[in-house]
Amino acid sequence: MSPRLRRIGERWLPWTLAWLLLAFLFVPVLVVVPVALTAKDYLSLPTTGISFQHFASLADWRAGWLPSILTSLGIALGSSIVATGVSAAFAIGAWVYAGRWPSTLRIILLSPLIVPPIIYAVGMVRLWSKLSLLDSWLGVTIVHVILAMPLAVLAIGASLSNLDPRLVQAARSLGARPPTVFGRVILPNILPGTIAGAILAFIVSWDEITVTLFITSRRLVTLPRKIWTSIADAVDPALAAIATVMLVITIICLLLRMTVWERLAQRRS
Amino acid sequence: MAFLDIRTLRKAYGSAIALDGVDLSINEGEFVTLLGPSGSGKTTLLMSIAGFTRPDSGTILLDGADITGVDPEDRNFGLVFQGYALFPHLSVANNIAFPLRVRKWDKARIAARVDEVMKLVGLDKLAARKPRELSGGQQQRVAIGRALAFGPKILLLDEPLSALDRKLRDAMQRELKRLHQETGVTFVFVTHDQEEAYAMSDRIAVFQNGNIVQIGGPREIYRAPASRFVAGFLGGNNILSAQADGAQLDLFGIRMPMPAAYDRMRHGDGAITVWVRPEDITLGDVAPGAVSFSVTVADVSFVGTSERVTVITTDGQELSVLAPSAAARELTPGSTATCALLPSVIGFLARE
Ligand SMILES: Nc1ncnc2c1ncn2[C@@H]1O[C@H](COP(=O)(O)OP(=O)(O)OP(=O)(O)O)[C@@H](O)[C@H]1O
Ligand SMILES: [Mg+2]
Repeated sequence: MSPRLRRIGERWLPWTLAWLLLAFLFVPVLVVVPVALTAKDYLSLPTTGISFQHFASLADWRAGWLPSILTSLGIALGSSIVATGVSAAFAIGAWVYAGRWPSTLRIILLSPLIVPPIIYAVGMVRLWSKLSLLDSWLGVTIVHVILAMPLAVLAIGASLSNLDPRLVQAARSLGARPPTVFGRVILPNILPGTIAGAILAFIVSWDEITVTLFITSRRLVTLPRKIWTSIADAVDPALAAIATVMLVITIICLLLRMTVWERLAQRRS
Repeated sequence: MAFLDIRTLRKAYGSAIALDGVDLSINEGEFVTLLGPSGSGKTTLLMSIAGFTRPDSGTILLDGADITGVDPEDRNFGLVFQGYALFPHLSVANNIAFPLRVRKWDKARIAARVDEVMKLVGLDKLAARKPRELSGGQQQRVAIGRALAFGPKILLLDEPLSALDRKLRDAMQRELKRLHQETGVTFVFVTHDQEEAYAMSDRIAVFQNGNIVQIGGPREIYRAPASRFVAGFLGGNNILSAQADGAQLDLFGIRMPMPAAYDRMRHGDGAITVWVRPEDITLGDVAPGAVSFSVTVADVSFVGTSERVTVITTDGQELSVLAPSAAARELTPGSTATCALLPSVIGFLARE
């Protein structure tokens, strides 16, 4: 093989393949951007002109997008905070009192990961109708907490597994009472895992659709549910607009994570 | 009344008895080592003193006050673990400052004390480092400094040196001894390494199956092991059977005058048990006054400063001999040789 061919093989081929793969993953996502700018009122590419009317309808309260965004935001924030708190308490307890009970409990806690959501949904409908929690904030938030806990427990448990359980004994022998042990020793060491767990829990709730569809009807419309119904009724380009907004927010978050966070981490060490 | 008084402490884990009625009195400023084989209850006793293990029964008195039920954080005892258990997110200085912050000392006082402690344990250049950026020996110093910083009444150490290499271990032994002398704090040290125990302790408590079977100074324990177990555990002594009849001792079929250490009331007569140290038996040359006997060589292994030779006596007892390499060079397994020992090196065990 000539050196030139080999150079192409070694250098350019992997690059090209890598970029093609990335394009395959990302281009379908990018398609929503031009569609959001269409001037027509059905899903289409903007062939006859660009318009921001669909973005405007997002901000219009009566179109229903804004209320559903706020509903989803509220439920996601609430369930993320609760799920993270409960998961942290469980994970730390299991870490301190290692034994048979915590590992059995752990399997039960992780079961939402294993049970298909649709089956879970059927069960929840029956239970929630008995408890009159159908179509309520509390009902949806509780379900999202349950669905998010496995991921939060795993994330927090992972950061705890790198921590020596005898740190608790060390701290106590140095005179620290349990709240101080928690605040000064455990929490600082599991903060990254806890933040990751909280973000995962937020995301689980933010785009949960299966169970939510079953346990809500008219009163409580989350964003995924709103998207779902608007696809089913008429294909409204506002869909593409909301997708674009979420895409932009995601990219901003990623950029922040890459720049600001790295700089903070550097300063700390 | 002793400073720390441990009275008939018992602790069982299911059917495993970790402490079987342990009594131990420790004086203020003493360096006491708990020595014993794995699983003999040393850690359980240390953790009971620290307050992390609740004994099933028995009491622990500090200066006459019952502290058996006091929480570990209120005992004011320093604790050093085998794995150090340093706080990974805190610098060396902040690790040492931790017990002082918890006690709400004011800033200037903390800074002064941290400086003082870091000088004491030889870490003054490493204040800003994180534990993961330190060597094992340095981490060990931080752990000790942290446990001493708040002026504990007692420092408890559970095999703190077992993860270090030999050379560092020797250095840390001297360091611990110096710290003990400079601070005057009472040290309770756990190990299963007898040389470590000899090198540092004022007194050694030997553990067997949850009991203290002998307690005394290093030389005393070395010279006069109280039981077959202690004699065998310390220094790999040879435990041998012999015959005693009044004025004569019969060992390996050799009759010799009874050594002065023998006491018929304590050691019994007829079939008795004696011990001899491997380094007290010579191979080849026979010193004046020594008795000699012929043996068959079973194994020769090089142990660094000398050779460990395993031989079988004519009456079938196995004997371990520590001999200079020059004397052992010619020996091969299966050959015969002459061993000798002075009657005065024979130790007698009490009737059991
Ligand atoms: N948490 C526990 N649960 C069950 N059994 C235990 C527990 N801790 C200790 N034991 C048992 O109690 C006995 C004494 O253990 P301990 O840890 O005190 O021994 P040790 O002398 O410190 O041994 P080592 O030199 O191996 O550290 C052992 O038989 C051990 O198996
Ligand atoms: Mg132990």
